[in-house]
Amino acid sequence: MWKKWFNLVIALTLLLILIPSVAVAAPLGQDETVYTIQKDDSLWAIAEKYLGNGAAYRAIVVANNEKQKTDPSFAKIIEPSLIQPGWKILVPSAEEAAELMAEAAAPRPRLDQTLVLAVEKDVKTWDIQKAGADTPSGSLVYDFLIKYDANGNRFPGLAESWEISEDASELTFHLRKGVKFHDGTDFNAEAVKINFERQMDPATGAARTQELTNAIEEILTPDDYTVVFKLKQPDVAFIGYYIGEVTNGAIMSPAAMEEYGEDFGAHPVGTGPWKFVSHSIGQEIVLERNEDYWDGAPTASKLVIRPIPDAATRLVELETGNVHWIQKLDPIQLETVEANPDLVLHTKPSTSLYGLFFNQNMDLFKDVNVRRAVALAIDVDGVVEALIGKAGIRSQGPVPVLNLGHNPTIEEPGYDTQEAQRLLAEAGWTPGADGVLEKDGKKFEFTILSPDGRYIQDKEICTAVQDQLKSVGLEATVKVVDPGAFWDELFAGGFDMAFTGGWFTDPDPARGPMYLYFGDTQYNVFGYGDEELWEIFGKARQTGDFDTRKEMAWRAQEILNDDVVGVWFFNANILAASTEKLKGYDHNGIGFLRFDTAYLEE
Amino acid sequence: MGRNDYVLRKVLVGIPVLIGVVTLVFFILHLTPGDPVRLMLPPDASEEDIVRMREHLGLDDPLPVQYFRYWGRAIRGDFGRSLRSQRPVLKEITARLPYTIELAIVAVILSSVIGIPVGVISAVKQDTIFDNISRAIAFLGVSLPSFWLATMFILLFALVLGWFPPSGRDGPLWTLAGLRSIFMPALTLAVGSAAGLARLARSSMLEVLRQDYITVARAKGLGERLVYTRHALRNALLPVITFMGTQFGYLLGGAVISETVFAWPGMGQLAVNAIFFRDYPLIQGIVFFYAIGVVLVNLAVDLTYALVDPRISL
Repeated sequence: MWKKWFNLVIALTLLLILIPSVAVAAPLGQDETVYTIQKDDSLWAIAEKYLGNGAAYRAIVVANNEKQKTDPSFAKIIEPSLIQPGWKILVPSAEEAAELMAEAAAPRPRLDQTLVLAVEKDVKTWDIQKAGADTPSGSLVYDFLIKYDANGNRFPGLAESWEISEDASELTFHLRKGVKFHDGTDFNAEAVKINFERQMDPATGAARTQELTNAIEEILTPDDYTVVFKLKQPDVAFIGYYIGEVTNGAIMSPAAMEEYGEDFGAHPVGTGPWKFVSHSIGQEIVLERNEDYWDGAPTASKLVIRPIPDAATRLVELETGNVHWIQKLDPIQLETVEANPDLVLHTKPSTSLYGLFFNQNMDLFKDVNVRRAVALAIDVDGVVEALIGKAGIRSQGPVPVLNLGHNPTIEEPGYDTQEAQRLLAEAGWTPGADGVLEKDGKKFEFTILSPDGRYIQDKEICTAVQDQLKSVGLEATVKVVDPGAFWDELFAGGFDMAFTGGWFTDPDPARGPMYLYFGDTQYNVFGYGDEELWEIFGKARQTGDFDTRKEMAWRAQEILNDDVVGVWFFNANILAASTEKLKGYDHNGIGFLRFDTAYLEE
Repeated sequence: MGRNDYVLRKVLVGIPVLIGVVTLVFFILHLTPGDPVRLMLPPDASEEDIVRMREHLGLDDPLPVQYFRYWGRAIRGDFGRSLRSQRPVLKEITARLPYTIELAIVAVILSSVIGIPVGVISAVKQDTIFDNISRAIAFLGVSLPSFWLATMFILLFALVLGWFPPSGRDGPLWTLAGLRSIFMPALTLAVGSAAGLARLARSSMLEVLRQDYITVARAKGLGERLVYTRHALRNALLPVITFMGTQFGYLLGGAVISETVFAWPGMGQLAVNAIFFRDYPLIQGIVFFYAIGVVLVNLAVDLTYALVDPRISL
């Protein structure tokens, strides 16, 4: 009899011993996991799977990067949206994640505080769809179907989830339920449809009417909370281009649009975290907390936004404590801010690119060796360090470093004045009596076109370059043009090099400055054409597979680099400064204004 | 009767001036490089969108058509909508004009209060230390660039001393907050103007003091103070009044630098941004009202002149 009990006890004991080890062997949610990124993975989805909460991706980033410090075999996650297949990352245990997320998970307090922000430009119109609108302010009063977080990760906005068909020609959005506009009307599929159709209506005067009309076949609303965009041709970039944050795709209240008609631009009504109160033109914008905001009401109760055009004045207002946060700092102000213990500098890299473009319509730069020589004669590192400093990061190639299609393997010409001179000599250029190179009686004289202060340090960089090129016998004249007339000058041609660039929020490999400036577009004023490249460009936005798109982007960069189409200086940083009493502020490199979690510590 | 004729004549002369100015600006605007549509739309806008927007805004019609359409509407009070904000031009201007007028008035008052006494006393005490020092300061005042002055004022009075707010308009003139916030922008404008006024007042006073009737007045036994106030000053101030009038007109046009640095919500910023973005309807509206303003101010100056100077009969 007791033998039976004895066996039972042994069995139970063994079972008890085995269960923990079984538990240990179970990979999910108990302990840390070492995970290798697969194709089409996102940190959000990984967090969802392993930690039960997509938003816990932040915990993954923190835990992983901590681990990476001691074990470099782990990939360092600099930007959560930029993870590559094959990377080894650490997923923390659920407990650890919960600890790391404790602050973020805690219900947001609601304080009775006013944050005063100083921006460079006044909001021209709150009607985000219109051509003159300034889209970064849109994130305050409006929501988009897809939101970005501070690190550029896409996550659900007014759309809880979405699917893109295999061939990228159909997008289905499942909308969040129970969301109301500030005027109390319901947010639903009909509202989304009305918003996009309004953009497509020529009478609206929207910014992207024709593009949307060319792209969208029709918009269907099978039920109150589902919207289907049927595209005329596949386009993987459709989401980033029209739907995500900082585009013209904000969802505005149809009822309010009807009520206010033409004056809607002065009476915005959205679903966003802040409700519009008043706008005294040129003086201040007042917004108040949306108590019923679906993503958690903001901590502060009021936002006062003051347009102050002069950067120096903005900084003084911050230093005197009259404002709590300023944007758009000049590179020379960075030191002052950092040296001041009462101020905090915020900086994040952006997907922008600025550099010198060669105009191959002009005889002088038709020869790739001449272009290479010029590139070799410019000390890009030195110029960027001296003139840009912390206001940007040194670019590598014609694609911003943060673009998902950035190719880190290409080698730019570099800085080698001797090699430059050698190449020039080979091309038949010899020094004249005054040191300037000559060939067939013609001097190496050319123009560099620069706008006047449209981009950070634009004319200063051009002047520095002019100086450096002089030392190898190249005589450049810098032509500085009023920013309003800059594009006219570019279209008119006649320049040999131009300093320009751009800022493209969507980091998809199929998007970015190179498509615009070197593709078969009206913006290709640089006379550049390459069959293979244009074939790649033509296919890029229609290629559904991420890896293929990325490969295509890499190849494109190789071609552009071999052809030395330009000299690439920097990717601008998005800069802001605040009083160190401002806590909970999530600075982003995308460029939108977001103050949901910010508050002042008393 | 004579006065009314005088006024009417001046106003009638102002109309061709207005038409001329608006016409000149219209054609210069449309013929200079810079495409407002391209500047309004995102940097990667498609060619089709650009063409469509141009049509939508009526910018692809032939210039004469656009020109006459503009007058046709302007006469009815419709100055169009700003290309960028889509707000009516009239609203854009009236939202800011009062603040520029306010600033100009305070600047003119400040500059007279500083400049005229200094100039007059300099003349009376010609070649004394006071005279020499004030002339030197006046020279500085005219030469120092206003953006430098503005920034220096902010650093000194706002950051270091904390006496005035660095920027912005904190209220109407009759409130303490309003006065404090208008002081620095007005002072920045006043400095250059005061220097010019002082020099003019000084030379004008000197000129008058040399006149025979001053000698006669002294010979009659009149006290020095009466000589200056009853005889010299009235005459010396005539050119000064004209100068003040033109200064006011100039300041109305938009003290751009002062307004930009101090974030003063006036016309100057509006005008600069409008030009930067080639916002044609807005620029034309601003020019239109500015022309009217200048004509009116000059009329006021002429009338004041006529009132003050007994030699002028209407």
